Amino acid sequence: MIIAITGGKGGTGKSSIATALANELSKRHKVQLVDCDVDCPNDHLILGIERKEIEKVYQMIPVLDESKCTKCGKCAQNCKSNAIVFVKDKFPLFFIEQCNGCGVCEKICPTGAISRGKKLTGYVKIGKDETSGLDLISGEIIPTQMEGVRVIRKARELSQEKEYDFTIIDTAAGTHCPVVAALEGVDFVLAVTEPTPLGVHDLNLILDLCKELKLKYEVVINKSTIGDKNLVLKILEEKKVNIFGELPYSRKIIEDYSRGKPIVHKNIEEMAKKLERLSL
Amino acid sequence: MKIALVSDGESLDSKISEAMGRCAFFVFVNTENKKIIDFYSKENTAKDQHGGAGITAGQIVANESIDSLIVKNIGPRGFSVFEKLNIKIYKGFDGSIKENVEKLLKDELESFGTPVRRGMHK
Repeated sequence: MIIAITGGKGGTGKSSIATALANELSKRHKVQLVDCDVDCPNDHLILGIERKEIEKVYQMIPVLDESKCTKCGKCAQNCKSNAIVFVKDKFPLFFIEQCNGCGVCEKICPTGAISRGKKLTGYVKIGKDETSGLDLISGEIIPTQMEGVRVIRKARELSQEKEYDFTIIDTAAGTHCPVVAALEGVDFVLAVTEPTPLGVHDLNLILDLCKELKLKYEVVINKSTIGDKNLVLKILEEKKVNIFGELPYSRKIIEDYSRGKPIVHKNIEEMAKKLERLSL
Repeated sequence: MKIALVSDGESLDSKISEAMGRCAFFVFVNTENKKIIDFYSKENTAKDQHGGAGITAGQIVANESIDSLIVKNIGPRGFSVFEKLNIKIYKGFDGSIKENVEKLLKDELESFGTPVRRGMHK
């Protein structure tokens, strides 16, 4: 079963819940955690797992052979990323930092003057918690690079989701392409929120995204004993979405988190059991 | 000499624009013997583009076969378009298109050393 942990707003506790559930489930099952928050992957820090790089992620970049180029300008006309400048009677100019590696320039060039180069955009790293047997895969993008989706797809491709009883996918905050890529093809989504106006605002957005993607989803209310829970309940009522679980705000949880330890709590145990029942 | 300027409007009395990639119009001015001969303008169709407006705007301007460009600000990507095409970039001052051209013709404008800021980073 593939479960994604998302939530819209940053700081609601996505990574805390993802690592806690992965940790709890790994006591009885073959589990892996895929950290798809490629801009700041840090599940390994919470779990105290050391990672090693297993794959480099590259992006195609165009390379021009000036001897074959007829200065027709078709490459620039067809570049949707506005990464190619064509000025008549000049060779096209390529702005690699703007290029998303789609390769249309290579295909459209009538004289085959554009070939495939590559640039490094990120890494896939793996690690293991030796005590529980939990496997961790994390995607990591190089700062300044824009193709997070490419790194996420590579991490998920390498994660061999079918080999595991549970694959927990930890997504980034937001509702943008890297979140969509992390949610693709999952069996169940847990949207982690907090009972604050900000949490609820972004929860609204992520629930709309999940609906649009035709996923099954429920909500986890984190820090449920602070703020105003009615804010969350109102949205869930309107959207007819169930509460999957709650986690109170507690000093012990914050202290564990600050030391880089996964949360251990009876509510996490209950949520893990619920996931076990769902997977049957 | 043919000079391109970034502009808020379409005439010689229009104000020079604060932006390059996202300016409203470009005004192209032909000069001879340090005098303005004629001019025309073009709308900046790149101004609402999602990303890389400086690059596309650079392409629009460079396709008019200009020798020099006067801007108040220019981002790194727009800058490199002109740099790669050997088009000189000058730092304009608050004023009209005409005033800026006249300053350039009197050699009173400085050339732009390095780009100032990034545009709409995505």
